[in-house]
Amino acid sequence: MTAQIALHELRVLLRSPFAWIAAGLLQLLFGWLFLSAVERYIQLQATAAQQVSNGGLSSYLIVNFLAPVSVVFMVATPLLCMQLVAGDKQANRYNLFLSLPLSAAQFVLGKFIGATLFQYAIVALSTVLVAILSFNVDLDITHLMTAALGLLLFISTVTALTLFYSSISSRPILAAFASFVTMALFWFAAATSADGFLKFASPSAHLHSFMQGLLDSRDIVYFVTITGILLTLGIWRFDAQRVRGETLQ
Amino acid sequence: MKNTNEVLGVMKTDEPELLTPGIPSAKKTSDKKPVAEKAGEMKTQVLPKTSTPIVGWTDDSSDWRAPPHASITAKAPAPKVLEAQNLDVFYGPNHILSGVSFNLYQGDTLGLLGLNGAGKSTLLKVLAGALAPHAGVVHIGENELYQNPISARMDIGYAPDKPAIYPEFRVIEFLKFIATMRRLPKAEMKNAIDDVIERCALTGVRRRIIGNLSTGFKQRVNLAQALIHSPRILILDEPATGLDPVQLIEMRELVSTLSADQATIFSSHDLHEVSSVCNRVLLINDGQSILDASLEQLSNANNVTIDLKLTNNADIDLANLPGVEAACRISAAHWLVTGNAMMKQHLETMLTVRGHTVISITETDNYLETVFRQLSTTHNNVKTDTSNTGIEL
Repeated sequence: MTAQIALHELRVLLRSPFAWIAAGLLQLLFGWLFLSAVERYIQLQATAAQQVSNGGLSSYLIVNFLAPVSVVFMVATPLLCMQLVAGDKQANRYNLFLSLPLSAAQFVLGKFIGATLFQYAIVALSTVLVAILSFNVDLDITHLMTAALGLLLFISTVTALTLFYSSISSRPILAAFASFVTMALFWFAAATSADGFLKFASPSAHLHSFMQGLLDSRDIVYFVTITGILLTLGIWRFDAQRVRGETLQ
Repeated sequence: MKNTNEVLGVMKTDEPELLTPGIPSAKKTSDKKPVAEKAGEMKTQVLPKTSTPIVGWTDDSSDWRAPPHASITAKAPAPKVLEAQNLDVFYGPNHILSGVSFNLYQGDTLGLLGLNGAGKSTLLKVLAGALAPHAGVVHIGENELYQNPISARMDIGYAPDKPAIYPEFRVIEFLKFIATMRRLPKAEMKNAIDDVIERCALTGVRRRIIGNLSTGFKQRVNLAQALIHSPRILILDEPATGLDPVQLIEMRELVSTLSADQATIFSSHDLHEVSSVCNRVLLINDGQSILDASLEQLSNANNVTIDLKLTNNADIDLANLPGVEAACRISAAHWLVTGNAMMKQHLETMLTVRGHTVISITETDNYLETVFRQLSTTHNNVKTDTSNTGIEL
């Protein structure tokens, strides 16, 4: 049942003009980021020919392409996922879902997986650019893969966060705004040097290790745990109405 | 929120096994005339529900108390498919449903009536499993809805008031998705979809994008998704909303044909619609059930409705008088009473014997319409009268 809902959610996104427009714009943006990163690298190489190795290109791509992509997803994911549950409420489908013979976990996980896969597809398309480059340039694939893994985990967490906000709001735009503000707050916390709870809890701070090529199990556990907690909250919210009779006022 | 004693309406009984609400009566085409009497400033009050059912009636036609449909009581009752007991729902501090109880039997088409904000949609959400009540239980067949949610929900088809659809999907794709969600086996899915498309007259639009369909077709799609798994209980929340007169007729015909082998709950605030489609009525006001009876009991086909005025504010339990099906106290000395023809002849005598002076006994039109009209008037009047008093309605 979870797979069916995920597949359905994927279909919903693929039928949505907004999702196509967003995906197209994202591809354009990622292409521009990639090309400008490569161009700047070539210029840099010309001025300091022997200082930068091919391994340096991988690092350069990560800093100037994948890291900005993660920031873009802080905005794109809330916009793509804001409709997940709040859209059902607006379109009067939510009560129908509540009355269906499916569990809250199936509903929430299905929505989450569908939306995440859609964004993974966008990321996969953008990595084609890197793959093409790798035919002619010796890239540090391990470093790039580690960074890409971090990006995928980061996207999952932002998706779960937006899904949760979407489940507690009946207005999609509110869910998107709340999700973006939360992520921006954590990103700001990670960008500042001060160590503290906000920095520890910030997905951006944990993504930083991946971007540096460090595959730290603590970071993986962090992303999995945070995503799990947010999905559990989403499940709790779905059950709030049909198990505990709580409704949004 | 009014308390029970402030509201109105009394039903003679709710003993379904004896009264056979589960046995579908012939659908009655409404031939009601408008109520002539002005509602004026009447105030309705509730009588305590009598515990005395109409079991005293016999099939003996010589007994003047025998109801016209007494022979029906001899039939075996239809299986009970839904049982709601003492449902309470709060939205924050607001008491939306208060102690609502009723049963639904196979073959019933129950019209859920009430003014806007009476609690109809909330009750339907509770019955559909979309909103847990704060108190009370709902049994769907053998399963308690909130203890065995998956099994219970398998027997429910629910169509919300606004079509719950994906506008970007084709009709057939949407129905296929719902069939999957309803756990229909793959082998049966195609037949089920074809069948429901045919029943809901969607054949011509089966491959059309739902968002491009007319309101009437969207409502049909909404109905089709509720029917796709042949549920034992069909819950329709104002299915006629937004339909033009022709579509309205088609929808009524469709609902009428559906109810033969399943139980249907049908909410509306259109009396004509309910009387043309349903065989039972549940009237709720301010979250309380104030009337639960078959249309046969309430109709003037076999019964008469009496507008009764007494001289004093007598405390009298009219509902318990022989031959009375339903009694509703409009004001202190003003009643609407429905009963059989013999009741009309003997009513004045029975009241006189009990020491009451009758000012007028007038036969009037459709009981349900009259009650509904009084309810509406009272609701508005009370709202106006108490707007500055802080009285909670």
